[in-house]
Amino acid sequence: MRPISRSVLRKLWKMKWRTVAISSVIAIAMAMIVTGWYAAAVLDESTEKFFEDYRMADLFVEFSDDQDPGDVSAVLDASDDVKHYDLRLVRDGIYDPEDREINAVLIGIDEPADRDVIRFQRREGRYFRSSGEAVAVIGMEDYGVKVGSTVPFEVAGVTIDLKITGLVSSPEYLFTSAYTDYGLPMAGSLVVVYMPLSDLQNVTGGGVNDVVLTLENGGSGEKVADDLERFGTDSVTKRSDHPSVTMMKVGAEKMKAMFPLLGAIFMLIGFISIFMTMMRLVQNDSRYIGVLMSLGYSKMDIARSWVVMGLFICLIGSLIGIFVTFLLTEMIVSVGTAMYYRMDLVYPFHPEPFLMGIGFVMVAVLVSVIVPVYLITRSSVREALEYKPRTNVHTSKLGTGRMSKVTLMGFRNTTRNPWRMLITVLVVGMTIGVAGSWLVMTDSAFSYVNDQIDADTWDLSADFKGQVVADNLSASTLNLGESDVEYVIPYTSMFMSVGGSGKSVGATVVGCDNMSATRDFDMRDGRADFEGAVLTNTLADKIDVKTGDVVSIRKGSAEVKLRITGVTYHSFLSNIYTERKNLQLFYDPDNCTGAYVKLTDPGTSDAAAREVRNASIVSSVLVHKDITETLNSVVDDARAFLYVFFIMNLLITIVVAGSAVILATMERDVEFATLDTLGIPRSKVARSIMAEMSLLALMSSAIGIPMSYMFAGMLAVVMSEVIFYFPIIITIGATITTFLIGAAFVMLSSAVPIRYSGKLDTERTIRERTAG
Amino acid sequence: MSKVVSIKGLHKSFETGGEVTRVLTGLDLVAGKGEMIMIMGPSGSGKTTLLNMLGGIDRPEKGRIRVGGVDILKLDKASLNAYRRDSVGFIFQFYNLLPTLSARENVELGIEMLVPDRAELTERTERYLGLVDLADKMENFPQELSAGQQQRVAIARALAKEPMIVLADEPTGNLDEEREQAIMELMKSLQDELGTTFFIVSHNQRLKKFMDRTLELRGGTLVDMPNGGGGR
Ligand SMILES: Nc1ncnc2c1ncn2[C@@H]1O[C@H](COP(=O)(O)OP(=O)(O)O)[C@@H](O)[C@H]1O
Ligand SMILES: [Mg+2]
Repeated sequence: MRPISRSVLRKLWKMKWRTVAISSVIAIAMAMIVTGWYAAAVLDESTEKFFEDYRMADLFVEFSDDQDPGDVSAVLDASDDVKHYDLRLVRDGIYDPEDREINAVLIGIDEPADRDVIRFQRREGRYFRSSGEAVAVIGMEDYGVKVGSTVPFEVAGVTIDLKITGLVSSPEYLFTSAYTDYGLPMAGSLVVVYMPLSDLQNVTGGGVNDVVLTLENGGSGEKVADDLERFGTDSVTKRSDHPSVTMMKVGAEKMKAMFPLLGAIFMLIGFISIFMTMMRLVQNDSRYIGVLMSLGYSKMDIARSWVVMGLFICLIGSLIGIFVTFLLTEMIVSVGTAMYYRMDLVYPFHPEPFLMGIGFVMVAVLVSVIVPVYLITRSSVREALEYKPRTNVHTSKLGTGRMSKVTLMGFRNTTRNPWRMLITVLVVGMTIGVAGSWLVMTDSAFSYVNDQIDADTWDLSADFKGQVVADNLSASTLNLGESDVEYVIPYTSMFMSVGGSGKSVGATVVGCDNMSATRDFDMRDGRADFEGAVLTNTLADKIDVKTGDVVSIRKGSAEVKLRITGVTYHSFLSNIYTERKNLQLFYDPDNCTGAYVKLTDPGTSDAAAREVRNASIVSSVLVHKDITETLNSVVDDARAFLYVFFIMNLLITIVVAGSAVILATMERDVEFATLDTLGIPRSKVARSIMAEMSLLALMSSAIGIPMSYMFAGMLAVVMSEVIFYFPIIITIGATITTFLIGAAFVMLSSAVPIRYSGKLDTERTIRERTAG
Repeated sequence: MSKVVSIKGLHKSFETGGEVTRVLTGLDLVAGKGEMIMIMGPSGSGKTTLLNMLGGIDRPEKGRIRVGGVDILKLDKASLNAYRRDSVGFIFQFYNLLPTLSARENVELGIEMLVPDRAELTERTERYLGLVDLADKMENFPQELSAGQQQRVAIARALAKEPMIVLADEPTGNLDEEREQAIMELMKSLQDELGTTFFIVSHNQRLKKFMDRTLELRGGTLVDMPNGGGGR
């Protein structure tokens, strides 16, 4: 290595802490860019491994009726495609703690331990061993389903008491929530228990009605499904369509989708931080550059030596960056999945994001080094030699004469270099903005979803066992008194294939002649005119249609084409609303499959639901209040999760703010030393720094607020693709939280200069920095 | 004349790159109240080092420094700070003014903890800035002042404290002859009125006539020099 490069490296060694600090800024920038992408890969891979480890079934088959296990076994044993299978009996039931009915799924299995298909992760207690015992899927402890308790289930008119001996995670019920009617991610809305097969058979009749199986390598699920068709199948679900799998995929998709945007924001923040840092570093050394020039070194030589230094910083930064990426990834993925189950993370070899991150760091650092070196070496040797880091400051009469001069100095220091202050405030504000955007987004999303739900006017929605003549429907047929209800509006709801311009998807088609009374329709465009079809925006976007287009509804070979009269906002439902007569091709327009009920006193909805449930025609009842309640509990879970993001982003705020102020502090070491010689105690100096930082904090936070709305708006666009659409609203709570916590975190970074000024060697500083 | 400063057997060496430089080797010095002492010596002989130790911003390996009857080497951090605040006025060769504070505020910064009363603070600040002939520049910031003016602000900041001792490193380096004489007259008058003790590091022969004593730092100790002129 040339001596000049060596001397630059030696300098790096001399200021090792500063080198580490600079590298850390770079590292964080890099980590932020890489994490979103890599976390998606980790989530993907870990999920894959989890499903492998826990023997997720390749095929789920439900029979319409109970079958003799021997018959089914015979077919499966004969198949070359099947590797392992398990025959089960699955019954829907009700768990009824106090005044609340919770849906339950009881699954009879032969053996709970070491299973070949659908293996459990034991979380608490032990597996069941004998009759009357069962294990439950974790997550319903708050409702009394916990180890040691005996839980009564109502199944087919009989009550089964089961003693819960253990809690497990099961790969087929990771998200009990995804199975509920309203399509909402409802936590705590389903109890799943695995119990001895013979127990369940004894109570509800023998036989099996459910097969889960894994396929041989290259085995065909279709063929197996065909083989089983002879038993009459109710549903056949491939692993890739299973809610557990699709939900996890959505999670990874979300992370990937957010990556380009977040990455770009952090690239900008990272680049500005790196540039400011390196620029100062080179400028501080300009006199040294002058010396080199006077010794006859060429610009190229000098630039090269700085590039060596830049590369060295890149190296350290990248190493720390890789480490931080793993840390952040671990944090994000575990926080994201801990809500559902305990998963061992697998870190796949996936170098692309890292290479991209390192590439970015290299470009950012090299540009930041070469630009200032170029600027300085462009001047003559004499100019370079005489170059002094600017001592002129922007002066102002800010502050009052009453203030202590030390504090006054702190305030004035805020604006001593207005450009740098502006950039610092902008960059720090940006990091606060990114953090705050999570809060704004959460509040917006959930207040929107709440609005959507509040727009319904009904209190109960009853689903009938079969079709019922609509004209016969009244309060009394639902076991309610005439005076108890404000309306009973019949509807027909069917899941059908719905197509637009080429694309077709499954959607719920609701036929109702008084639709506008059941809900306050908030129209995106068109009118709430049910002569034609009104689509939810989610569905309209999915099949790419708009008001005025034609939508086709299909079941089997029957097809109905309807003109779209309007698109209504609904954040998560994929529905079509129309009058019943429009659907007569599919069913008798005089009939209905359910009814919306509005009660005179919504407070009685639980009691009313009980009555309605007992009506002979009713199969199930959805209580509107429960949706709101469930939603709120989801909000709380999600809040906790998003707060983690919020705080994590604020950690970046500390680093960025800290690195900006440490630069500003380092060039003021003579001033700190002077204060010391004047006998001004460190505590007063600290207060002065706090004064300066608090101004900076308030300004950054103030800028952070509009930025948080801006970023939330951008993220919401991404979110509408991966989760659901919601408009950004002004939220006081998020605004105040962002402002205060943002400012507080910036204040935390004042620890950096305070420590620096406290550790400063006064004698040495005065001697070295003011030597002739 | 009572003793204000007494230094005994001061040893100080520095180590740079494994090489040890012995700067002070058993230095003794006694200064009386209201004495004005000039310290001369070639560059690198340890003059600044000596001032730094007297001001409590550096420590010797061996020796004793008593100022106003207090052994300052035995003081803890806080007391040392208080000592600097109450008893020491530093005048640096390169002024070390705070760039974001005006001339007035720089002086106030030095004395605001000594003079709690605001009216008195203002009065004293203005008086000293007047004495160094900067009455019309009080609201200017350092960067708006010439080198000589900045030096005078630094002098005003140190003198306004009315400290027990003043430690000045080349205090008149940037002043023309006329100003230099005026500043020295000012220091003389403080010496007379308040009994301030001055240690002035300088190579300037013209200052000699103001001194009570002139010492030279040579080989790590102080040696008496014939005094060129006036004194008293
Ligand atoms: N903190 C220090 N570290 C290393 N060497 C020092 C330090 N302070 C002073 N020196 C050395 O001590 C000697 C005396 O320095 P100084 O007191 O500044 O001399 P003067 O002020 O007489 O020119 C010089 O050789 C200087 O390099
Ligand atoms: Mg010196």
